[in-house]
Amino acid sequence: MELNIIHVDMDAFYASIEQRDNPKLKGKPVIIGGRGKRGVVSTASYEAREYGVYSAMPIVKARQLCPQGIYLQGDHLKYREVSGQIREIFYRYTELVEPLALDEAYLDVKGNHKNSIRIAKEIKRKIKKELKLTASIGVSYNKYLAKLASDFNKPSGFKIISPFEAKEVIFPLDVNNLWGVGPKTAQRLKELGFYKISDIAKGDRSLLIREFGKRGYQLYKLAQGEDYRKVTPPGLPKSLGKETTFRYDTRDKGVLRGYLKDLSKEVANRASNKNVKGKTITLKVKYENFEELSKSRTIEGNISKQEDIYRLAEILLEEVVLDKKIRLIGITLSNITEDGVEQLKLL
Amino acid sequence: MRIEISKKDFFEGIQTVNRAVSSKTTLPILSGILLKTEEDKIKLVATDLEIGIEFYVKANIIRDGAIVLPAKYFTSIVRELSDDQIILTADLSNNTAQIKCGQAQFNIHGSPSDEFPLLPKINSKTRFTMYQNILKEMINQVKFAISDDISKPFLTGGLLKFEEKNLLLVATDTYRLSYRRVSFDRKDIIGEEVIIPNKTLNEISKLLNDNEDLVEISITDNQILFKFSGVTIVSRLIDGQFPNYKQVIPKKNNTKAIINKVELLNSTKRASLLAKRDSNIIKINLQEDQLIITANVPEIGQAYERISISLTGQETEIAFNATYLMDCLKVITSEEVILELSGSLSPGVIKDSSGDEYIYIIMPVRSN
Repeated sequence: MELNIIHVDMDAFYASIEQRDNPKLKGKPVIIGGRGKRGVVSTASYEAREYGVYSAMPIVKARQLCPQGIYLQGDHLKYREVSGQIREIFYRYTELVEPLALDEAYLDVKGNHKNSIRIAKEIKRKIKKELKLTASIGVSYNKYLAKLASDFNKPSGFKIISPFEAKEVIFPLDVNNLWGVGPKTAQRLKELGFYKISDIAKGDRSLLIREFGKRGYQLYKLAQGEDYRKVTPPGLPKSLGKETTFRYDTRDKGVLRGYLKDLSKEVANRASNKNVKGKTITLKVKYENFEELSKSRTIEGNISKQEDIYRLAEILLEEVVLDKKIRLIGITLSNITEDGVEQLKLL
Repeated sequence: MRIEISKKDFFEGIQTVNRAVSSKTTLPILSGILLKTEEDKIKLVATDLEIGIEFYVKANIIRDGAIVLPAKYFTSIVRELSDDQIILTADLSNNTAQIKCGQAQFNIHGSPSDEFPLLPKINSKTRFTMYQNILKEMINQVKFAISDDISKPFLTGGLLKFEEKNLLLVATDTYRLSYRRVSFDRKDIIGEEVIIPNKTLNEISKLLNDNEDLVEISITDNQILFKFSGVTIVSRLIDGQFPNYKQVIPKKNNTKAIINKVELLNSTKRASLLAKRDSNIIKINLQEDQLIITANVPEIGQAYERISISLTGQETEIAFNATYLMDCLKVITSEEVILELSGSLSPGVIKDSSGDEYIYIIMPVRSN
């Protein structure tokens, strides 16, 4: 059991970015969240957390707890960009990066000859030096323990859980620290007499299986510190689609073709951004009475260019009965493959 | 109308014409099968207006008549009947039919026969016969290369072409091309060429026998008719100009290898297990006396296959879609195949060892 799994969790990610980019916000309670009456907190800076503000809390409630807080709507494009910069640091060490969110990812560094603890320290240092942000990092031999470790001494934490100390670390913890155990499962576990992780580890496996099925077995394994989930980098997108609802319903083929041209262009752009091609084009229409219809066509080759997408979409449009007006039209490219190889053509 | 007919013969006939039953519901009558008595036989007809199939089954005709019965129900009913004599009675006044066999009795609603479209009459001077097994082999060696790209309709069928002394069938989806030639000596129809739809070729190849019984073929401007073993198939032809396939058949090569077909097919099949599922690429390395096939899926592993060959010309390397390669190897009948290459980005040519009767052109894959 090698310590190859690293979990990186950015500290108060959105709020920290805002504080970094605007010195006036430093040391102040900054709360990022949706505006409006029904908005919720997406990130609270550590200063704001002292007032009891936490993620997913309604903004209205946050304002009561922390009236002097600085409330921002947040700039998701910026956060996404920073997230990309962080991932770029990860990729210097391994291809096996599984992002869980913009601010969180698992890494498997088994392919890197460097010591994983050293890699983890370097990552932490580079995030600080290059991006002026802090991360909490957990290192262990599986995903569950790595994530548990990164959560240990936030912010700016660094924790290693080795196979020798795993049981010592997790046994005293409450069952809700097991991966996938929410309030409901925790309650049921407690009703069955499982309070601490050690209770499950030493408990009756068949009872857990009887009670929770496959998940019961998984809980039993997790409680022993065993987790066989792999770090899996996100695969290719399953499909790329774009649709548009018209301002006025229409059954004019000329108008529809115009929309198809624009949509084809957007789908082609997305395909080229993701460096993929596809085999199947699906045309979706929604009639004025909200009835939906989709038609698709799969071809032998792979396409990604606007002309090719449009050409097929237009043929599919011919098959659509326009006895009613249409309110929405969309194009999806699916059956996606990487654009790394090119099947050459004869003609 | 009233007939007595053996279940086995009847079902065989129904299955034969079923291939032409329309799956679309725009014209409900086309989802039915026409039954019509003719002398001592019953004629079964189905059509989706693209292809029509007619088949005669011997029967004891007690009272003449005709009716259209819904193919889906009619077929499954007859399939499940015991292997016995069936008595089919149709009441033409209200278009219902009664099917009786052993203890079973079904009454089903049909449609009047005069609503059913007649198959077009084919009257043509372009008329010839050939052996069923030859036509079947030609189709099977070519049909898999037919394109399904509806935006290029002229590629969605096989080109049948009459040359001096030869009859050709050619298909291409632009990634590969399959060509089969048989000798044919009818000076009066030289130069004719038609494109036969994929579906028609598929259905015909399934119905043709593997023997030297004759099939009679007639061609008009927009229809083709096949007549064999009691079956008549009429199909529309595809409009359009088939591309000039001659110019894509390479005339020379830099590398020529003679390879055992079964070994190449089996090795390719195995290597393709580790070819990336979506692009299905295998690499072929041709050396002086051996051919190496490799494939790899980074997350899973690699495959390596070695075959002894005899090579003339340059050593070279090329990457193919494994499926494209296997498609042709599956239909080549000779023990050895000839692979001709001219570099890793030029078309590869595969022939059977008999010479130029069968030619398959396959375009390589370029990895960036």
